[in-house]
Amino acid sequence: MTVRVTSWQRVEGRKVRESAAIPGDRISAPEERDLLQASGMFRRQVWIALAVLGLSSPGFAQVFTNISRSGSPRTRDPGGVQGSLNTTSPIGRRDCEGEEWTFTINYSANPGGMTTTSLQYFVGADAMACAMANARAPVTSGTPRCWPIRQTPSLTFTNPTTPLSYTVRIQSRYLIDPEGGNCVTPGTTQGTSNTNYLAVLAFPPSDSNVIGTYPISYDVTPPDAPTDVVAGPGEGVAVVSWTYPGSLSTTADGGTTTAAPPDLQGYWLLCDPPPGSAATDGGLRDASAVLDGDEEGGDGTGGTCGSSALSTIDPNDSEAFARYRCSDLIGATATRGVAQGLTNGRGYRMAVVAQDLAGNRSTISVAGNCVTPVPITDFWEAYRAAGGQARPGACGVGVGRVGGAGAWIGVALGVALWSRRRRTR
Amino acid sequence: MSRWWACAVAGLLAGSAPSIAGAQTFELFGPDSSRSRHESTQNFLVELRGGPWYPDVDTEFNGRATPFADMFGTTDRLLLGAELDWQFLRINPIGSLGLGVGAGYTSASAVAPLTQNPMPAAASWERPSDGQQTSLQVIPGYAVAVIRIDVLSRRTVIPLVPYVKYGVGYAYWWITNGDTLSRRSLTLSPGATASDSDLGQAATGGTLGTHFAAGLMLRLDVFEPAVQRAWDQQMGVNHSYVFAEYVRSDLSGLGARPQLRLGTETWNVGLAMEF
Repeated sequence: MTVRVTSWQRVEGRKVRESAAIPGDRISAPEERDLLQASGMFRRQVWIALAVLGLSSPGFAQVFTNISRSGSPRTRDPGGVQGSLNTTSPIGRRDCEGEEWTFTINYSANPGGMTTTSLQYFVGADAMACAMANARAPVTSGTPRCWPIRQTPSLTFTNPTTPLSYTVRIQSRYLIDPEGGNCVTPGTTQGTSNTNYLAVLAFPPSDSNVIGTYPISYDVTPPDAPTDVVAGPGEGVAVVSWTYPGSLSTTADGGTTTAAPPDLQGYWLLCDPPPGSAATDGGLRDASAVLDGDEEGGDGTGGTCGSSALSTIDPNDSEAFARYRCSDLIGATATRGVAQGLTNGRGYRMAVVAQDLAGNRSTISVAGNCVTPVPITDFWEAYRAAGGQARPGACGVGVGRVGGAGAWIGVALGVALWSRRRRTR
Repeated sequence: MSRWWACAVAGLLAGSAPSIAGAQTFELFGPDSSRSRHESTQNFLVELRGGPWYPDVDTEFNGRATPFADMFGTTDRLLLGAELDWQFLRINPIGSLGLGVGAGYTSASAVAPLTQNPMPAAASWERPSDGQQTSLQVIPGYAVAVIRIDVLSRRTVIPLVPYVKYGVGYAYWWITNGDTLSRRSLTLSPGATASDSDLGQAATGGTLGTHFAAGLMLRLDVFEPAVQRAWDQQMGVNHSYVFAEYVRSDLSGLGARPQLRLGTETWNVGLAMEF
């Protein structure tokens, strides 16, 4: 038999894990004492952990299992989160409006030996709030810090000595605002650090009997909207640049640079008219009119960019957002993006939307100028138009006209072969 | 067929690299008596370099046009690169003869002008302040013979090593239109005609030529000889240098059909280590 002893020690402020395997027949008295001390320390640590988690009885360990979430509109974002969200990522506003959490709750003993037990669901502003009767709404004095989820009925069962496992579904909106279920302006006092605690309480015998808590992080505050949005033309594209407010920092050369806030996930570009709608011609246009903003467009039938719907749509309206979207999610550090799939010669109004890691979207920032994608002349076209004779081709050496090139390649080949001969000697 | 032949030669040269890497230095006229018996063997030299770069693209037009300057301006770009030399022959006590290969990277980019048909002179281009970018990106490389005269630094107190390099240069290039490779089209490219053979082809290619460089290295051992000895014992680095060199790369096709002229006349500075 081999006994493995593991302990944690704090060394210079860092936790260090120590582990040792000791053959059972070689445990001497001092080692045995250490083993027992280590075992006792471990048990104490477990109990402290259980107390912090609200698992105040040994019969209720592992209360929450198989936790999952589904139904968030965010999971259908192109290029964004796909499938399901991680249970540690915060609930955003769009999750709140369409998502449901599923918890499997294991209940394996009756703390008071009662024949009937009722399990009820609460949300607390901190981990211990629901353990105190005087903090649970309604309170006779002061402000409550724990609220019942009335949307989720309690579970009552008899003969609770038999271990029980059951599944409960709770909408995200009630994990954020257990009383009102309001995703935009929750009426319930929120927890610190944007974390609420789902708590399962057993009634009776003791109204303070919390059998399990689970932290739920959330963030329903949208990021600031980008500013200074400007759109420029390209060939079948529009190039959009912007700045992000409140995050400018001074660079070494005295200029400013835009630093993304830590919870910003990125940006989307929106186009009006939406890409893929009825197109006009794609030929060459009057470049002067394009730059002067005289070019008409916007709806493909001669309308102008002034009548844009972008400023009126709700960025959290998934359907409208998807209709006008004309880019994948652009990285959080970017201040410039390219909208693809536009039609040359057609006027577009461009807009930018910021999105944070919880999927919250800022209000829509619409560019002040109308942009008309037009063909551009890139360097290769300019070179060839000027009479340049080069042609594409990575290995375009003509043997018949190689001249000095052949000699040089011969020299290189000779050196390589000479090297190989020397090595084989 | 001809381009495949050239590619095959390039592949053969690349294939010989492992044999070069495993080779040792041959010493002509016996071992170097100036070498310390504690010094580790020395076979290679590596350089990290940087310098301004402005290509000869516009020289093709003999003053009739300046498409590169029109598009990207006349400011030098920064070229960063590295070189590895195999000092295969030691000519005691004069210096060494080596084979070197080097490569670098540089690029030029600018907001592309809107297409006007026909395109006017560059001064009349309609170019937005912000819009789709076009860029020329280049990976210049070369294979050279290198002669380094290090007798002064080995036998006297003068810590200087002059050197000369000459060989074959090659630059791989590509041109972008926004995020994609440029392709000319009959309807959208100014001046395009149906007989142009490059319509629809991606603008990427290579240019062959010659590469010449001459420079001077300052041996840093003289400033901290103890540190250099320790570095040699621990890591096998015999000597370290700072250097400056004049470079003339004539990448214009070597008499083959016209190619994008990406040679330049410039100078480089950098760090070098022999090991």
